Parts: sequence; C-alpha cells; structure tokens
Amino acid sequence: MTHNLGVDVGGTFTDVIVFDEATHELTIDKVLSTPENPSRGVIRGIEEATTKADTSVADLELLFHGTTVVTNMLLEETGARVGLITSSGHEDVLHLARAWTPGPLYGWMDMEKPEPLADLVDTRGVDGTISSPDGEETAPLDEDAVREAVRDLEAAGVESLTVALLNAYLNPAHEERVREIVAEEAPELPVSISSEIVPEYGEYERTLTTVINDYARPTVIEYLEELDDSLADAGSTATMNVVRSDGGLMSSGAATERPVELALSGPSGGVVGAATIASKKGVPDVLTLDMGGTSTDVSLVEGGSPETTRQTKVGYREFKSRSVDVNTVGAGGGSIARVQLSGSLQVGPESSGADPGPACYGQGGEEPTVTDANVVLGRIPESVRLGGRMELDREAARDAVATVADERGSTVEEAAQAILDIVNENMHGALRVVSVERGYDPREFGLVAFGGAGPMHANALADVMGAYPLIVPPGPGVMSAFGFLTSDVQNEFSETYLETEDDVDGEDVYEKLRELEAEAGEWLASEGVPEDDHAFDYVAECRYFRQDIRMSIPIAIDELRETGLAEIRDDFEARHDRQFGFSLDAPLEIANLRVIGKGMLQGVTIEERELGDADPSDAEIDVDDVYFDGDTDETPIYDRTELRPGNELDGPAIVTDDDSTVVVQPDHVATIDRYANIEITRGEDQ
Amino acid sequence: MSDTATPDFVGDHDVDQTTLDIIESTLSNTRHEMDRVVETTAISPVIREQSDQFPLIADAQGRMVMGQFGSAIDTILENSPFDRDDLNDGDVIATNDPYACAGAVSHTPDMLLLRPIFYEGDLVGFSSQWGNLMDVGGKTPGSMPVQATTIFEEGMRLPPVKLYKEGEFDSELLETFAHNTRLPEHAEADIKALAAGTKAAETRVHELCDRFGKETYVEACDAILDRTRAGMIDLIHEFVPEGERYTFEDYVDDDGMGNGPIKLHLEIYREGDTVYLDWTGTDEQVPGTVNFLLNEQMFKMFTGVFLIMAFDPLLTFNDGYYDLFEVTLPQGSVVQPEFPAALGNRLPLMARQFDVLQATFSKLIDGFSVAGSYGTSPNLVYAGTDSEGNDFQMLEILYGGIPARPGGDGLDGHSWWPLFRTVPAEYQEAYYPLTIDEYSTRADTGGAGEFRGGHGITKVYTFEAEGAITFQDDRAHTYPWGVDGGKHAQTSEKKLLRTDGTEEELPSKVENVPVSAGDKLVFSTAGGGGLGDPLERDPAVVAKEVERGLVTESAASDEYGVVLADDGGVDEAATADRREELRSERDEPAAFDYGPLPDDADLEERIAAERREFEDRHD
Repeated sequence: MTHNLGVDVGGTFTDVIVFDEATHELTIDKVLSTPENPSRGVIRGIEEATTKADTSVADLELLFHGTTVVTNMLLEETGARVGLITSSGHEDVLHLARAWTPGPLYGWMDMEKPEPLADLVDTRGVDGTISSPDGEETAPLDEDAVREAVRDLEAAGVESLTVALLNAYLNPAHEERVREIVAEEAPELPVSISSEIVPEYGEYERTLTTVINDYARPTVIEYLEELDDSLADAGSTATMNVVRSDGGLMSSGAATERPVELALSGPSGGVVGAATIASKKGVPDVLTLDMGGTSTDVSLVEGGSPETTRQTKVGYREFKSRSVDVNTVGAGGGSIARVQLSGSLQVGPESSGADPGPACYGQGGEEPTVTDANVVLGRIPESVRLGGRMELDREAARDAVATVADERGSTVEEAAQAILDIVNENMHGALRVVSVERGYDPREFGLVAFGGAGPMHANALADVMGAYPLIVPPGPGVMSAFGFLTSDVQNEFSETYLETEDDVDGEDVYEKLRELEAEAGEWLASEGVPEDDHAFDYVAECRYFRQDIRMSIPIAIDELRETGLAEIRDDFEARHDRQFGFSLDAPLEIANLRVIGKGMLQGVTIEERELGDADPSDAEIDVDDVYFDGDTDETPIYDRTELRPGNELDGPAIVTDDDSTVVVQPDHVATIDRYANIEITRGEDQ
Repeated sequence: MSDTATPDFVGDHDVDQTTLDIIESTLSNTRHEMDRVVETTAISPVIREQSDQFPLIADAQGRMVMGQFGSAIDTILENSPFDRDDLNDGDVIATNDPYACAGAVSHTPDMLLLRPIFYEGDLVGFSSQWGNLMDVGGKTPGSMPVQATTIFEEGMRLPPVKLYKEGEFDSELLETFAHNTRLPEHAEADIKALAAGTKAAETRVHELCDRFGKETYVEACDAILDRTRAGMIDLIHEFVPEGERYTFEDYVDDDGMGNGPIKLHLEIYREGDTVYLDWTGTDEQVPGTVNFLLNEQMFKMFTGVFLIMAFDPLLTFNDGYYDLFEVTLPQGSVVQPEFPAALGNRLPLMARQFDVLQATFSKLIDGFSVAGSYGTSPNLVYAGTDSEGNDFQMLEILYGGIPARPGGDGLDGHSWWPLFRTVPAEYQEAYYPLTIDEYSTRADTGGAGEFRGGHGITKVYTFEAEGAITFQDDRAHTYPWGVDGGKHAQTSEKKLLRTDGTEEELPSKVENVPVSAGDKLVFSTAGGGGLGDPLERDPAVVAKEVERGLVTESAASDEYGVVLADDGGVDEAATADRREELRSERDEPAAFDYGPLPDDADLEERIAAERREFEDRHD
C-alpha cells in the first residue's frame, strides 16, 4: 500500500497531492504556508494529506518537494550575510553591476537599484592571476592574504562565503585552494566556488550566481535538515527529492550544496506536469498558462519537453542557472485596473495581494481587480465560494468596476469586459514572447491552463492565438505539486567550449561529451539512481562565430563520429533561419557542451478511463446569466466532480471545481477526455 | 520648423478603447522584440554586449508611433533618389549619412535601415532600426577619428538607397559597402541583423491588420499619437510655468584639436500650449569631430521624454507631441554644423545637450532638480596585430557617475544611456591581447550632497601586443555641476604607464597613440554632481559609505561634516560640532556649483596648451 507525495510550498498556500500506487487515486490538500518557519507548514500539510488519503507518513515511498523559499528570500532580501573573496582590482564587480540602467531614455532617474547581496564591507580582493584564454597561472595565489580575509570575514559575522576569481572558469585551481583554506580557518562556514556553480565566462554573472547560492544556503540547509528530522520523527523512510528550477529533481543533500538551483522550483512543477499530461493525450507541443493571484507564468513545451533557459531572473537580478523557461507577467486575479491620465486602461502589474484582496473578498479592497470583473460578468457563479472558503461580495465588485465605467463612460459590464480584454492581452503578450518571438506558430500548439485563475481566461486566449486544443487538467489549482510527481532526477554538466567547426570535428566533440557523461553518471550514482535507470541528453550550444546567441542543438551521440558536425550545423542554420529570417556565411561556433543526466522515477501513473455517455446533464447544477461579448447568455453551470469521461458540453458553459472555475466560451465545445481533462475546441460553426 | 497648425490626427477616433490599448501594447512589445532580434543575431560586441541600437515603428506618414528616438523618415525620403510612390512591399532603405537624414543618425558608424510596411497593397507604416557598426572605413579603426575636419575622413557613407528591392537582397551593394570597412564580415552580419529587426516589426503590424482590420490599425495609430499629445499638453500646463524665460549654459571641454571650451546655451519658455527651446547663443561649429548634428525631431523627443520620465512615466512617447515644441537650432553652430563638418565624436555634445536640458528644467520646475553627469559615453579603441599575426580591433564604451537624482543618490559607474552594459573583462581577456588589472569605483569623485553624485570608475588595461589606442572622453577640464547646494564632481583622467617606467598624462581625446606590450593605460571617468546640502546628508549613510570604501574618512569630515568614532560609527557630538563649523565658514551656496573653473580665456589657453604639448611629445 505505498503512496507517493508531492508538496508545493508557495508564499501563501502549501499544496499537497498524494498518489496511491495501488488504486491510482489522487488526493489533494491545501494548507496555509508558514513563512516564518517553512518546514512546519510542510510537515502539517504532509500529515493532513496523508490522513485524508487514508495512509500515513510512514507509508510514503517517494517524496517530491518544490518550494518558493529561495525565490522569496531573493525577493524579500532575507538571506544570509555573504562574504565575497574575489580578485584584487575587481572587488566592485557586484557594485558596478555591468553599468546597466533601465530604458527608456532617462530610465536612470527612476531606477531603484538594490544593494549587492554581498556587501562591499564583506568583500576582499586577493592577488593571484590566471591567464586567458590558456588558463595558466601567471601570478601565484596570495595564501596569507586569503587566510587573513577568511578570519577577518568570519570574525565580522558573515554566515557563508563565496569565492569568485577572475578567469576561474578556465582553471579552478586558485578557487579550490581558497576553499581548502576556508576549510582550515573556518570549517563551519558554508563556502561555494564560482567555477563549480557556473563554469562559464562572464565575471559579473558568475559572481552574482555564486553569491546568490551562498545567500540562500544557510536557510536552506536549516530548512531541509529540519524537514528531514521532522519526517524521520514521523516515521518516514521515504526518499526526499527536491525540485529544481529546470523541473528536474535532486536529493536534499545536493540541494543544500546548490540552493541557487531552487530559485524557480515552484513554477517549474506546473510546466513539467502540463507537459506530461499533454504528451499522454498525444499533444506533445503545448503552451502553458499558469495564472495565479498576482502573476501569470507562461512557457512553451515542444515534443513533450519544456524549453529551458540558462538565464534565470528573480526581481532585478538575472543570473546563470538552468530553469524551465518561464515568462512571468504581472497579470493575475488580483491585478488592479486603473485608468491612466491619457485615458488608457491599465491592468496590473500592481496587485491587491491576499490582503485586502479584490473588492469581492469584502476585506476592504476598493480598487477594481480582474477577479471583480469576472464576478461582475457572472463568470464566477453564485454557487461558487472562492477557494471553497469565501462568500463573495458581488455589490462591492460591481461598485469597484463602476469606477472604471464612470471614467470611460461605459456600462459596468463593458468596463468589466475591457478589464478582462486587457489582462488577457497582457498574458497574450507573454505567450507571444515564448512562441512567435522565437519562431513558433502558436496555431501549431495546444494550450494547457492551470493555476487558480488560468481556466477562467484560457478560452479567450486560445481563441485569439488559435492554440487548440485547450486542456484543463484535473486539479488545476495544485498543478505544480502534481507536476513534481512526474519529474525525474536530473542535473546538467557543462563546459565552456568556444571552438569553431574549423578547429574541431565530430570526434573531438564526441570525446568531450563522453567525459561530461561520465561526470553525470557519477552524480546520478551518488543520488542513488541505479545504472540501468540512467539516461542522458547531449546538447551543443551553437552560434555563428562572435554572435551572442546560444541555440541549444540536441545531438544524437551515436551518429556523431560518423556524421561529424554537419548535422549540428544544418540543424542550427534551420533554426536560425526560422527565427531570424537569415543565415550567414560564417563559421559555426560551439560555445558550450552540455550533458543532462536523468534518472527516471515513477512518481505517478495517469489513469486512463473508458469514455461514456456524451450527455452531461447529471452534472448540471444551475443556470445563470453570464455576459459574453456584449450579450448576456443563459449559461449552464456544471460541477466538475460529477462530470464523466465522454461528457460533451456546448459553450457557453461554466464548470466549477474545488479550486478553480472553467469558462467555456460560446461556440466552443468542451469534452471530458479519458484522463479526466477538460478539452475545449472550437465548435463546428467556427 | 514644425507646423503650427493642429496635426491631422487630432480629433475623434472610430476605434474602441480596448482595441486601442491592445494595439498600443502590441506595438510597445514589438519595439522590444526588434531589439532582441538584433542583439542576439548581430556579431559586434558593441551591439550584442552593449545594446547600442534603436528601433521605431511609424505610421504611413512617417511619424513615430512607438520607439525612442523620433523619426526623420521624411528627410530620408527627400534625400533619396526615389519618391514615396516608388516604395514597394519588401523594400529596405539603408543609410549611414547623417547629412542625408538631418542627423537622425549622427555619425557614420550608425547604420539606419528603413522598411515601408504594406498591407493589401497600401502603405500602412514604416519600421526602422539603427545600430553602431564596428567600422565603416575612414582614417582610424572604429571610424571615429579624433583629428579630422571633414566627414570624408570618417568612412564610407551610403546615401539612402534600397538594400532590398521588393524582398530581393542587393548583395553587390552590401559587398561594396563592406569592402570599404576594416571588418567586412562584421558589417555584413550586423546589417542583416538590423534588417531582421525591421522585419519583425512588419510581421507584427501585419498581424494587427489581420486581427483588427487595416482601417482600424491606421486609425489606432492616429489615436495613439493624439493620446500622447493630449497627455503632453496636460504635463506642460502642470509643470512648465508660463511667462518667464529660463536659460542655462555649460561647456564641452574641447574638440580634440586644441579648440575649446565649447559653449552650449539653451533658453526655454512657454506660450500657451507651446514650449519654445532656443539654442541661440551656442558656439559655432568647431574644426574637430565633436560637432553634433542635432535632429530637431529628436530633440523634441528628448524634451518630451524628460517630462514624461520625470512626471508621468507611463505615458507612451511618440511623434504626437511634436507641434507642442518649437525648437531653434542656429545654422552653423555646434548643434547644427554644416556639411562637410566632421561628426565622429558627437557624444560629448550629445551628453551635454542632455545636461543643459536637465539644468534648464531644474531652474524652471519648482522642487525638481537633477545634477550634471559624467558627460559623454567615453570610448576606447585598441587595434593592432597579435603575436600570431592576426589583426584585432577592440571597441569599448565606458561609464561614469550618474548625477544625484530627485530623492536619491546617483549611481556609481553606471550608464546614463539606457540598457548599455560593460563588456566583461573575461570576454576582453579571452578575445583580445590584454589584461584588465582593475575595474573599480573612484572614491570621492561624485559630488557631495544630501544626495551624493555617482562616482566615476577606473579601469586599468595592460596591453599584450603592439598596437595603437584611440579614445575620447570629456569633463577633463570642466566639472559635472552640483545643484541646490550639492557639490560639483571630479574630472576624468587618463594616464599611460610605459614599461620603461615613464608616465604620461593624456588629454581626454587622442588618436592612434602607439602602445607596446606591457604598457598600461589607466582610464578614469568623471563623477556625477551632487544634489542638496551635503551637511543635510544622513550621517549613518556617510559612515556606511566610508566602511564600504566609497567615501574617504577625510571627505566625510570635510564635505559632509561627519566625524566617525573609533568603531566606524557616527560620533554624534563631534559631527554636530563639525557641521556647525562648516556652516559658519561657508558662503551661501549657489544654485549651481560649477567647480573651480578658470575664466574662459584661461581655460581656452589651457586646452590649447595641453594639445600643443601632447602633439610635441608625439611628433
């Protein structure tokens, strides 16, 4: 009677999902997060959910854990005091921050630049140089100065240490030596070296990324240790897997070494889950839409795999860490609508947050939000209580939206519709960034919608982009926790290569990839993955010589020695041409080689059911007036828990669920598929 | 001169507000998409690492609806061998001749591409993108000579010609151009990248026309222009007082050939809805390359953007407000030089023009002040032949002190121009024969003030191959001013340390100075001015900055009157005394602190002497 469990720790709620391996049943639970001591909320959620699923903590086999602890630490600047040891002459690397100021012209007048996460007070430069590009030592490391700096910083009260020396990506010897000295002088201090965290050129980004790692480390170490202890106390023998920003998994131990990899741990789960669900349905290419209270995350999945990026951004800081390529826009249910001086209507990025929340929450919010607009239009029917907990104040919603209507001289319904149109457009803009701007045609993609508010807006978005089918998975409000269950143990191993096709051949690249594969294999073994379950992806990051792009070109390693680099070049040129409309008569440069090592885990099995009758009337609970495109339609309301595979619903229709509401637009058809997804397509008239 | 009649886009617009908002935000995203396309596909570090390129989307009449630089499409077409009627779907016009586009690009390395956008056979707009090429030929690598007196020495110029004709790429034309540059592959790739940027805009405009209909799109462009114009009228009425005339004067050091200082003089006043900006009183054009061909439309854009960013940052800026500004640019002055004046190093004048605009507005607008900045975009070219016999050419832009701002300190070593970034030292060391020994903040170089001006930076290069350096900077003789009691900043400095132990101070603008392996260049940029009385600055912040090494202990005491205790904290009592002492010693602070400038004649002689001595040494 084994169970697996996914837990997603958000800023407000902790979502838990339990999978029963015998019955293939999923149990969902939501508890309040405990930001002041995050492990407590997790334990409570795990205990509550296991009880609800008729099992116990001791019966859990696999645990999958994603968390916004690191994200929030970065946004709220509540991490550790970090000491930085860097090359002398370059102590101001974080302070000068590559000189960047925001647009447009005069952007500097309004720029708010946060202090570096390692203060100049806690930064020490040491002598010792490595030459470039050959990586030779040209001046020895001043070990006495290092020793003094370490003692000094420890005495000053730093809680962790970063070592980031110029050109260390070419030769890590000096950084490694500094780490040894730290171990001798201050054995208690966690220390990271930049050549391990980001073995790539670019001193600012490498230093920043490593400092972020150390900024998060003390808290993450404490948090994960407490969690492990509490789980052990509760009798757990389950394997703990922590979800990385790229959607892969690593052990708790690995997570305490590289917490920077958790920066986007939360949002990655939803994307991975959506990719799994869509692939299972035979729709391997989808866009994902995760709309919550304050923001929306969108991404692109091609061939069942989420696109990933090496540039991760949290707030002002953009650093080098692999993550699912999630584009975030400040558009959510709580986004506030305002009429600007010029008369234009803006929705978001400012949000009413959880407190006071939208006007309809009746907690004193007066400004109109997206949720209020949905209430005004009847998209959230009387029968629904938000989050199953709250009675809606419809009058307050109407009054709030009326302020926009007054300023624009429209009806309240028109104003509400305009708010929805604008917020949808903001999300549309975000979806374009991940699709059309990268050369993908959204009409060739499906759309998977989740998050509390996603299923309410997704049909309108699918329509404007022509992205069908629209898939609303079961439990859209806990999609990240579900996604964790579908993740694999994963880590990537990369090396700066910077070779052109004139200088190397397929054999050279093959050898280098095999070396990286060996490293990846060792790591998987250390994570406890048996060799039979190891799998590897091979990637060359390519560009024309001297360009700045890095296009990830997948490599079929078995053919590499025979075909040489020609296939890599052809693939690169085709992608470059598709995305930018031109190619160049310039040599191909391989900037980086990467091997992604994966260990397959089976956290969840998606149950397939027989399709039944098309008639959904057993699930119909009400009929309401709902406003669509200038008219009010009599619209049936369905209870999702009563809908069965095979049921067909003609739009307009509203489907209510525990944690979200699905809007089916007029002239659309929704069917319940064999995996309990709601699948929405255009009706025959369109 | 702008047309004083009300523009034709003003009036009622038959387009619903939501559609209008959607079209506006799509165009806004498109402008950023154009940048991203160019940045990622170009191969020059100055574009890919420093983001030196500028997109715009215009309506069918050539008025910029979205972008950041204003449009000169009319002028470009006037100076081309073809008429508006000769434009066809798929054409792309290219030019890098400042005199053929009224200064829309202001020196020859900037290549501008212009694409008419057609929908169902009708012209519905234009997209345009320009970027700084690494080299366009001429007498020095990088094509920005310091010692030139005509534009003919600044490289190959394309008049407005069609690079693509109905979608067909004219490879012979491009090859002819590239052939005249030192880095032909760079030129070809970068120009193609710019064309890809304009294509991205065309695709988006087509999608908008598909989605909303051509008429709606065209109407929406009018409405967006109208909306911005109306917003600007409100801003002008609220913030620009009517009646009084305000003037400000400041100087660029020199033209790199011993002539200076070069005066800029601006007068601003308002009558009704119209704001008058008059550059009469500005010095005549100079022999050297610092002349700045200021495009009138562009200056209107700068002025509008200043008001928008200061008071209503959400307002879209575009050509809609052009009739509200009336600009006078005296012919033959440094801001309107006559052909064939050399233009290569127009950055000091461009930057100073912003300083003067800021200062005049600071006088004019109650309770709003900004100080003076580091004064140009300092740039350095290092070219030569490496040990393996390969030619190399490095171009880098450097940064200095951002002025103190309303309600905040200036930033240390940041860019006044948006979105620029430094080239990583590790990139420079990997691709060019040099090492970067230091890249640091220059303590105490930002002007003291309640809000401190940003500090300049010092970058130390050790060259590893024989070659020559060319650079331009400014603010070596004049100081970035402080305002409202804030102090002036420190000047820039350049020093060459030879392997034989000799040391040479260099002027701020030099061309092809030979360097050998082992020579070091110490390149220090100016700070930004301070704002408000330094004796009002929070002592705890001063103490923190001493601890961080950004302000010295002596400056804390002498400039800020802050005395530190042994533990580095503020000695409250001693600080109160010290501040009292400084207050009693000083004169009533002037509105602007220009620093210890000699009089004009002395300054002129000093600048000429510096150049004479430099030339003598390098004969």
